[in-house]
Order: sequence, then C-alpha cells, then structure tokens
Amino acid sequence: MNLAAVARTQWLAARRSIWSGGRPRRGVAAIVLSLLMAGAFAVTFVVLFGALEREGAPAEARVRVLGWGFTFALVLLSLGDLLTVVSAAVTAPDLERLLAAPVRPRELLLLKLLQTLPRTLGPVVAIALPAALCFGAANGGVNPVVFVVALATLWAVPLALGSALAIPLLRLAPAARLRESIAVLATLAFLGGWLANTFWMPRLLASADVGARLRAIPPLPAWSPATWAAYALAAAGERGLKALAACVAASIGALALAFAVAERLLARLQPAAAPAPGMTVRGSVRRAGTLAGAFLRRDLALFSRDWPVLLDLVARLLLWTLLPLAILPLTPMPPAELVRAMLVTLTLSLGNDIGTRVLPLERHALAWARLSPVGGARWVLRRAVGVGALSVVILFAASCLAGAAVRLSPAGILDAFVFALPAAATALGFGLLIGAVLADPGWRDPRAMLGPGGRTVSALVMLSQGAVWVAASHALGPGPVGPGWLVTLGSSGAFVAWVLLVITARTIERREYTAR
Amino acid sequence: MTSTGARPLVIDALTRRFGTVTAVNALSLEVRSGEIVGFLGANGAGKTTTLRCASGLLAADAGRIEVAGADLEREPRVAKARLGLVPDRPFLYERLSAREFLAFVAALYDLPADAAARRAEELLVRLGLAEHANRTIEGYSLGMRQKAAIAAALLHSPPLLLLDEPLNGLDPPAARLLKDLLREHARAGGGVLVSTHLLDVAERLCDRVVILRAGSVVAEGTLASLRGDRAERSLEDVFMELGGSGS
Repeated sequence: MNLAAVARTQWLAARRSIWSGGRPRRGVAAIVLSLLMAGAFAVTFVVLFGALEREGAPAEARVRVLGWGFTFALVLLSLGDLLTVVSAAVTAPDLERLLAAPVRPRELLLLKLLQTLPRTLGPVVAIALPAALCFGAANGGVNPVVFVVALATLWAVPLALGSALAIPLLRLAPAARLRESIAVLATLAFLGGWLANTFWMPRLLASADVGARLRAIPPLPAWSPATWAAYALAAAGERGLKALAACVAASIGALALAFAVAERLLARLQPAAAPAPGMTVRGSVRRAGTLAGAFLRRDLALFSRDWPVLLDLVARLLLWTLLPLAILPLTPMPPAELVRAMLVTLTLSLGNDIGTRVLPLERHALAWARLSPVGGARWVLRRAVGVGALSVVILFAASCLAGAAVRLSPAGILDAFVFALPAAATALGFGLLIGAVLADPGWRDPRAMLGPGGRTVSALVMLSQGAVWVAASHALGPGPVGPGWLVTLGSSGAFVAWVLLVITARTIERREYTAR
Repeated sequence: MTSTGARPLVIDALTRRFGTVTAVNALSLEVRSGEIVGFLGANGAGKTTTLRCASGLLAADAGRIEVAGADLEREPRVAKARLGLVPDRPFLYERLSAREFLAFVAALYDLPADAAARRAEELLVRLGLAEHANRTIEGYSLGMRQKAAIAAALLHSPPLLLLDEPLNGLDPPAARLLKDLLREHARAGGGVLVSTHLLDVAERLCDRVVILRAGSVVAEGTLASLRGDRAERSLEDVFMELGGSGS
C-alpha cells in the first residue's frame, strides 16, 4: 500500500469535511463543540486546582484530581473508541472494497485508525488536554515530552484495545446490533458521569470547606493508564519515570495487540454491509381504523423496536428533570417553584430529545408525506398530536412524582402541571421544526439523528426558550401561579406552538426528494 | 382500479433545474390507458427527475402534470391518490414488517380496511413475500425490499404506475412476475411509465418507448416506428444512435 498517497487522500477528505467550496462544512461544528467542551473543562480544572492551592493541599491531592480527570476521559474514550471502531465497520462503505484490495490487514487497520482520528481525539482534546494544561499551570509547568507521552497514552491505549476487542466481536455479532448495544453502554456511562458531576460539583463548590473535600478524593486505581499518565506528569524522580515507562509499555503493548488481532482476524471479517437479521413480529395486515390510529400504531412499533432510542430517551428525560436539584444548593427554591423548574427542564428534554427525533425517525420514508395523498400538513399534525399526547402523559406523571416528593397539595401539583403545558407545547414545536430542517435522514446512531450543527442549534434553542419559562416561573413568585396567568401563558404558548407547526408543515410539504 | 376515463399521465413542457443545471427541459409526454411506456436515457439524462416530478416528490419549475385527469399542482391529493411510484431506492420503514408497512400505506391512501387487507395479502403471496411478511424489513435483501415497494405501489390499484429501475435486485422469476403484473395492470386499463437501462426488457415489455437526452425527448414511438425503414435494427441500435452517448 502506498501509505503516503492514502494518508494524503484521508487528509483531503478530512479537510473537505471541515471546509470546502469556500464555506464551512459539518466538521466545523464538531471542532467548535470540542473546543467549547475543552473550555468548560478548563474552567472546572482551574477552579479545582485553584481551590487546592488556596487550601495548601498536598501534591497527592492534585495528582488525584488530575488522575480522576484522566480516568473520566479514559472511560469515555474506551466506550467511544469501541463504538467508533464498530461504527467504522458498520458505516464505512469502503470496508468491502478494502477487504477485497491487496492491502495487508495491519495496513487496513492503520487506515481505519487514521480515518477515525478526528472522532477518537475528541475526549483527549476536550478533557485530558485542559486537565493537563491546568495542572501544568498550577504546578509551574510540566516536561513537554512527558506531556505528549501522557496524552498519547490516553489516546492510544483505549483505541488499540477497542480495536482488538471490536474485531472479534464483529465476527460474533451483527455489526448493527453490536453498535446499538455499545451505544446504550455509552449512554449509561454518560448518565453516570453526568449524575456524579452535576450533583457533586455544585455541592463541592457550595461547600464551606472545598479543600478538605478535595483532599478526601479516593486514591486512583493502580492499574490504569490514566493513573500512570497522571503520575508521569506529576511525580518526580523514580516514581515519575516508572509511570512514564508504564505509559510507553501500555501504548506499545495495546497497539501490538491490536495489530496482531487485525493480522489474524480482520481479513475474515464479514462485510458490515450485510443486513441485520431482522426480527419476527406479529403485525397485522389490517389497517388501523383511522389515519391517526395508523400513525400511532406505526410509531409505537418503531419506538418499541428501536430500544437504544427508547433507553436513551428515558435516560435523558430523567437527567433533565433532575437538573434543578443539582443547582439547588447554589440557588435554593421554594417547593412550587422547584417543581415548575423541574417540569420546565423536562419539557426541554421533550423538545430536544423527543420532538427533534419525531420526523428524523422516519428516515427517507418521510417521502411518503409528499408521495401519498396525506400531505405535509396533515402528516405533521398527526405526528404532533401523537408526540403531544405522549408528552402530556410524561409531564403529568412527572408533576405527580415531583409534587409528591416536595409535598405539594393536589391543587399545587395541578397548577405546576398546567404551567408546564405551554412550555411543553413550545418545546415540541421548536423540536419538530428543528427535526424537519436539520435532520440527517441517513443517521446510524440513534443519538445523532441531527448532525452536530443540528444538535447544537437544538440545545441552544431549547435552553433559550427554557430560560424564558424558568424566568417566568421565578417572576410569578413562590406560590401557585393562579388561573389568570395560567390562561395567559397557555394561550401564548399555544400560539407560538401553532406558528411553529405551520412552519414545520410547510417545510415538509416543500421538501424535495432527489435521487439518493 | 378506479377508472377516470382520462389519460393516466400527461406531462406538458416540464422543466426542472438544479441551480444552473437544467435536468429536464420542456419535456412533454403522455401515457395512455392500457399502455406500458419505456423511459430510456443515459445516466443523467433526466429520467429519475421526470419520474419524481410526475409523482410530486419534486416541484416543477415550469410545465404541467396531469395524473388521470387531476392536475398535480392544483389537486395534489387527488392526483397522488391516482398514482403509485416504485422509486429507485424504496422508501421503507426498516423496523416494520412488510405486513405492517402495507397496513400503514393502506391508511395513507384511505383504503377500506377489509379490501386493503385482502389486496395486501394477495400481493404478498404473488410477490413471494408472504412467508417473510412478519419479519422486519431491515433483514430483507435488495430484491425483497424492491418487492415490498412494488406491493406498496400496487396496493391502491392506481390508474398510473411510475417505476424507476424496478428490476434492480430482482431475481429472474421475480423480474418475470413484475413484468406480468405490469401487463395485467395495463390490460386492466392502467398506464405504466417505466424507466430502465435494460433495453431488451424495454423491447419486449413496452408498447412504446420515450428516449431522453439531456433532459429533452429525442425520440418517441413504437419500436417499429423508431426502427423506421431498417427493420433489422434493435432498440439498442436506435438508443445508441439517439440517446446513448450520455447526457
């Protein structure tokens, strides 16, 4: 294989995914997101290392903070890299061609690793790099060679081990199913990290004795590349050298294992383009009595059979609802306002996670909205009614649970529920519109039905309109909102949602379907 | 099939541009009742764009399209109810079974429940999909997907059938079956416009062919009329002469 020529082609493709034809492409959004995340983590680490310095904490405490930061990056990298490698097999249209070409398996693996480089570098750039830089700044600098080796270890070990694991797994299980399972694991890991972070960080920062709490951080696991990388950067003398040697040995060992596995098994990999086996279901050929019934029946089937989507939705709905509890130590709220805030954040998830996926879930089959006599407006209306009904049920259940937890009266619970209804309507309206405009109908990962740009727009829109509702809730005071304001807010929300639905319907009616 | 007495398809001076490229240029054609019309042209000649405009998936920049007497622009719902499309890559729901998919399509076309169920079962059996019809479509081969798309297009027995490379992925028996279904459809008074690169299929199946080049019709007629006074010429010879050198 002419490695230089192949690398040049890869570079060209990567460059064009960021910038081509004189304008930015989708890849720019991923870079911007990574940089934003890196900024957020940098602020976190500056705060943490600053607190340790003020408290005069021992060096070991700083290493532990750095080590746990690296560990978080390593966990995300391990799951993310496994997912990326499997995805490279599932989604890569070139795998069959490469397997048929006179390319040695280890060269093929190298090629794939090069292809996945932009995705696998994300957590290194977003988490490990700011952690190491902030640590260096707080400790008067670090050795640049050790710095590079430590970060390279965090990148290479999970990627190599992910490849070594993914190749045999892909021979055992259908690639699509494997990918879904890993995606669910990644969601659960993210859920765990999010819960730990959102509940721990605000309480830590609100604590009167930050230094003491940071000094009590548990020790790092001894056999982890993240620990070795942290000690290589932080420890002096023999301990630092040993950690550095462990980093180098782990990287070389993991890469050697990956290439050995590739040499033995990669050539016998089934092309991932082979269809998933499909499942046998007990569907009826008899149509539902009404068009709305047909949509409902179809949506139930699609959602219940896409269990990674379903699990992802449940996790996200839970996370958003709990969000106000995380900031409660910093900004205490009376019970009625807290429940309203929880319901508003739940509506953000309804819009961001359900609303935006309603239309993309149909993929290219959304063309039936234009091909059949149903028409875009009726299509969007049916979908809106379905998702609206589901959202009302979720919202009502959340109102009852959250209200009961903070001992609101039934009237108070009803007041909070009715307050959240127009917030849900606007969130769903925005979600449907964003899904109609920014969906990627060829999505493979159920968490990425919108492209990176679409997800950023969705998050910004949801947070902005959510902030308006939270501000309204705060302005209305600590008690129940009352019927007058509920009617005013309800009619305003309904009007905004109606306008958004009309725009969505026009978007779907005017969408053109060229040959794929 | 619902007979309206009107011609299944009339396209008059259709133009469609993509930016600076004119994909279809003042194209006119018609499909009469009981007729199978072959739509031929090199890659990029504008066949798929024409079929997509005729089915309402793309808007026309200029021109008029009438489906079984209904103007696609003015009465889109009536016109769409009177046509069935088999696209080059079918629009299917991966996580529905073929049975569920057909039940959903029946609802989209507002077909009576019992009649639609009978028609769907009949099509599933004829197309050899019955034994796989409870499996989700994600597990289907290319040919099975194509059969599901064909069943969906035929389900409401439309006066006009539009097919874009319908033989893609079909094995010989299935290809034969599809040709039989198209002939039956034409015999029952329907019209068929089928784009294909398989000239021998067009030669044997179609009553008339339309040859497209760079978005315009360059020849139209029965095979005999296209051959002119050289009866020994095949459709391939005619095609290479008129439309075969690309767009």
